[in-house]
Amino acid sequence: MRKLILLVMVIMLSSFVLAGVGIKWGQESALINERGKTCMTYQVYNPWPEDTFVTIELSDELNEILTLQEVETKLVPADTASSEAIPIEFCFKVPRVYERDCWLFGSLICKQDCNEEQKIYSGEVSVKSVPSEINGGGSATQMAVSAPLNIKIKCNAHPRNFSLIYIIITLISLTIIGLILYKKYRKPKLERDKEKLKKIKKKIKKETHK
Amino acid sequence: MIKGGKLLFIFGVLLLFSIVMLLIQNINIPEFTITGAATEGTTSSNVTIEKYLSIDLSDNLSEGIIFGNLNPDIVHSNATHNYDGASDGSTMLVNVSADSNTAVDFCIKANTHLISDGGDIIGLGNESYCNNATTTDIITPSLVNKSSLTTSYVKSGNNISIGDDGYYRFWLNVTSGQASGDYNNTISFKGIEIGAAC
Repeated sequence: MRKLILLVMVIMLSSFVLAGVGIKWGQESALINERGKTCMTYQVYNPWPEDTFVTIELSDELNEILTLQEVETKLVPADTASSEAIPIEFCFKVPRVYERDCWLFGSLICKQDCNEEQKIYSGEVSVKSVPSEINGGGSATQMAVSAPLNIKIKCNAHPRNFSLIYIIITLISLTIIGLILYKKYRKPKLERDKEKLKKIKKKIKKETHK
Repeated sequence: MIKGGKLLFIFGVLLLFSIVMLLIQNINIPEFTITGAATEGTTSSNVTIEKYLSIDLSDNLSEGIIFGNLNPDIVHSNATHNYDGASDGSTMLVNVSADSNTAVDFCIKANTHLISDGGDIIGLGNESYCNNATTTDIITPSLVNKSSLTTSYVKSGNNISIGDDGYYRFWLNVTSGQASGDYNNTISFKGIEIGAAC
């Protein structure tokens, strides 16, 4: 329902003259660990005398790693100065981008040397106005402002990780130890003592025959 | 045959070994260093550099770029607001807000050809523009310096200072035999930090 109201307001507003769009940013690059996550905040403002609806978009290069965008369309009231700019948050989660040397299934018992060049996703954050409506023929107009953004991916070198093997050994050892203990203690103590006694007797008999 | 007691011992040792190795592999033990009696003080230094820019289209540019009713076989037909300003200047301009802290470059692109409801097309190469940084009169922006619109952003104004305007003029060619109808597309103007790529 809220989306419908927003859409109606966007359509109504787009039939009037366009207001301005503004963008404010304090960070143009971020260094993120491979498979790490980070969030960045940009701000939108409108120092002009008309309310404006804006859409906030990332360029295609950055959309590959975008996990969350707070809103897609936002109302920016008239006379919103840069000092009162409205924050918009973007969150990025970086996939695995550097090569690893793995022994099993391409993802197990791996080491990472980080010999490759640093990977950088370069793009921009754009704030766009809703296009004007035009009566008859001609070109509708739209305006946008944008800020550059570089996401640099940090590669973390590490020696081969044998954790999987150690986990398997741990599990096997635990299973076997468990089985031995179960076998040993599954009978009541009296019965076990009797069996023990029987074995000793058998041994003594054997020794006596010698 | 290994007896239960021995088996228990062997696998107990294996279990202990694998647990220790798992810990070594996955826990970073901080380095132990002897610092002696050295004394040292630190304080942090921090600065945030913020940039902000805002643009606005003039009313006549906001309402769209209109060429009126045209007959086929016309070259460089003027947009209706090409010459309706003071000193016959253009009234289609992009303004950089005074509430900006960086000069701005402008970029321009069209989303597609001019297309009618019936699917007829006026190729984008027929729609052209010229921009002159901050002034306009009967001569500037001049047809001589026109460029055809493209579907990718290209620079259409350099180093527009805070509070200044960038003026535009638009022209359209319509070839003979062009089907009648209303043709539309959308032209986008983008403001970027001076020197950045479109």
